[in-house]
Amino acid sequence: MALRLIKPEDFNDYSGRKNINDILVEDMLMEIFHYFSLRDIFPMRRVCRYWYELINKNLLKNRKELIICLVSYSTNKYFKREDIHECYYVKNFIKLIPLAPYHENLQILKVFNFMIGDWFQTNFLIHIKQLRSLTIAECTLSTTSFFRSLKYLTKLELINMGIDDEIVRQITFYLPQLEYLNLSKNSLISGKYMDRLPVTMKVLILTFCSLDIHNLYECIESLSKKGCQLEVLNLKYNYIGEEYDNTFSKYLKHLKEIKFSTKHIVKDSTNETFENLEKLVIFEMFGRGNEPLVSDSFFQSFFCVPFIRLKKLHLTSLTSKISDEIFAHCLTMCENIESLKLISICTLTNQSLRLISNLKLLKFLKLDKIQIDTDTAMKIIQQCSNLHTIIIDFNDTNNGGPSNSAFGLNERFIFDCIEFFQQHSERKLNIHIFRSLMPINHKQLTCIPNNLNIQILKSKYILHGPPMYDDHIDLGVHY
Amino acid sequence: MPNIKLQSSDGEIFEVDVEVARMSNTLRTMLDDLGIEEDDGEPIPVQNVNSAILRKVIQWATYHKNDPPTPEDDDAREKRTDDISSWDADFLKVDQGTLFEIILAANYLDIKGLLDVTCKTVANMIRGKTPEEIRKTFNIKNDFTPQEEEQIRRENEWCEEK
Repeated sequence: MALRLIKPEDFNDYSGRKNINDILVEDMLMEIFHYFSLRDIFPMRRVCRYWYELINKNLLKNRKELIICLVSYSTNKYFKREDIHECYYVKNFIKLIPLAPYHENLQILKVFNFMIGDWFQTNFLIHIKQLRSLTIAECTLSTTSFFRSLKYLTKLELINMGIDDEIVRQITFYLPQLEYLNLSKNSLISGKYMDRLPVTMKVLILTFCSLDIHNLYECIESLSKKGCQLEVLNLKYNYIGEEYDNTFSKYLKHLKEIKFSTKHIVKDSTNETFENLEKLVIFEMFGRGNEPLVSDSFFQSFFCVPFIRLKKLHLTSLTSKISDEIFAHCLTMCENIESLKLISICTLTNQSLRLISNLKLLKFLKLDKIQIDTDTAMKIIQQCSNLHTIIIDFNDTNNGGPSNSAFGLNERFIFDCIEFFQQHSERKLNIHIFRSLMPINHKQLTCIPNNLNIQILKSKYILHGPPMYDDHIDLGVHY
Repeated sequence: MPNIKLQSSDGEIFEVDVEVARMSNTLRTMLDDLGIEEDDGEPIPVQNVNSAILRKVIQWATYHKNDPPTPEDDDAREKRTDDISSWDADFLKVDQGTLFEIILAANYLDIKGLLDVTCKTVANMIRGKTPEEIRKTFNIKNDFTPQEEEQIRRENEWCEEK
């Protein structure tokens, strides 16, 4: 039997106007309401009591995560453009006070660009009984007493707030379950009282602080002796003023990720190293008088045992010479890495760079201000069969550094890649080239095979094509 | 192509392709549990769905039977509602009562694609309207007391300032 055609009279049963609330049950209305952002859903509470209660119950009281932001705050790494519709984007905290009782089940709260005064504790936080994660960034702080009701907090971020060690003391006093602490961009924090942090700590991020290295070592030693198993330690951009003849690696056996300056452990020479490390970021800081502090001996001692679990290795801004021998030694100790970033290491030779082709598990490679030639780059691409993304940044824009105009990479690189990937259709690769200094013949970039995606960004030297200034050429498919 | 019979709540029998019926997770589970592959004469009762609505649902499922499956991921669902295909938009040019009944049927029969597109259609009827216009559109009575309205107005102040 074939389907009968639908006749208009079949719908006559519904000609009377039924109320949406008579037909659609709660679940169905919620399916519809789900398409609205926090900002759009608020006026809908005024329609009728049923909607008001549904929205309150399902979309406000059940909400786990909330952002509060003062209007005109610009989007950034922490606050994304799409967040504007999902947050309380307000001019004055007074407007937030009637809303606080709806958020007693909140677990994650982020506050941007506000004045954190007493109201925050007495009118807002007091309603939130079980907050787990609090992020406050770029706010003015006129109270230090808001930690009192936050004893369940496991994650705290106070970023760019101008806070000092007294806040750290408050944190250690009131937050006994803390696991994640980020105090980045608070240049007054010296690390005092950090030895009192609780045994539950897993992640400690202290970038752009002014840590006293004695305080830092005391903190790490004390945490370790309590039985704390710290997993992430980020000390990037810490101008630690004084050298310290000690080691902290023996207290960091559980560490999975570390970002540090060579200066932090410059005198360290121990066989006990970070055996559980999965991500290692080393960058160089300058001492007084801008003398480089790293040397071959640092690398020799630091990479004395294999990092078996290491997946990501980033070496940044090493101005001292790393010999071919030492670089080769480092790579053999990290042979399981999947991601390698080398940034601004002017002295690396192509003989050294060629050794990257031995990293059989490598998936991601970024070379920023690294003088690589075409033959070396091709050898890496050919030999590393798991490689799916390579980023090359010519980055000639620094002031004072040596000019890289004698870059070995030339336009033959593009043609060699095209030829290789035409012949190896089983491989796929993304190539991103930034600020290219090599002339690129745009016309000849039209025969790129499907398995190769080349993006040329912010490049000025493109011949025979439309003139490209600080522009973006996107060739091929994206993976 | 193997067919099976579906019986609407008001007793009408529809013969449909098995693949079309299997677009409904409810019918798919039923067919699998009963081991029904093709027509064995007995119609499967589709309670809660009358013939007019079942006919619409079958029409939609027949048109969409070759669609790729929609992802189940609930939290990552996009909030956009402007991506309704023109066929679906035409198909859903029905009166409100019918539209709501299709939503109920899509929910009962568990046809995710149909549920999504019908809910998006209703969301688009709400979007951009004032509370009073929404009440008018859906024939909803304002049942707040003046005191309650004043309280909600205070709570909503944050999003009403420009």
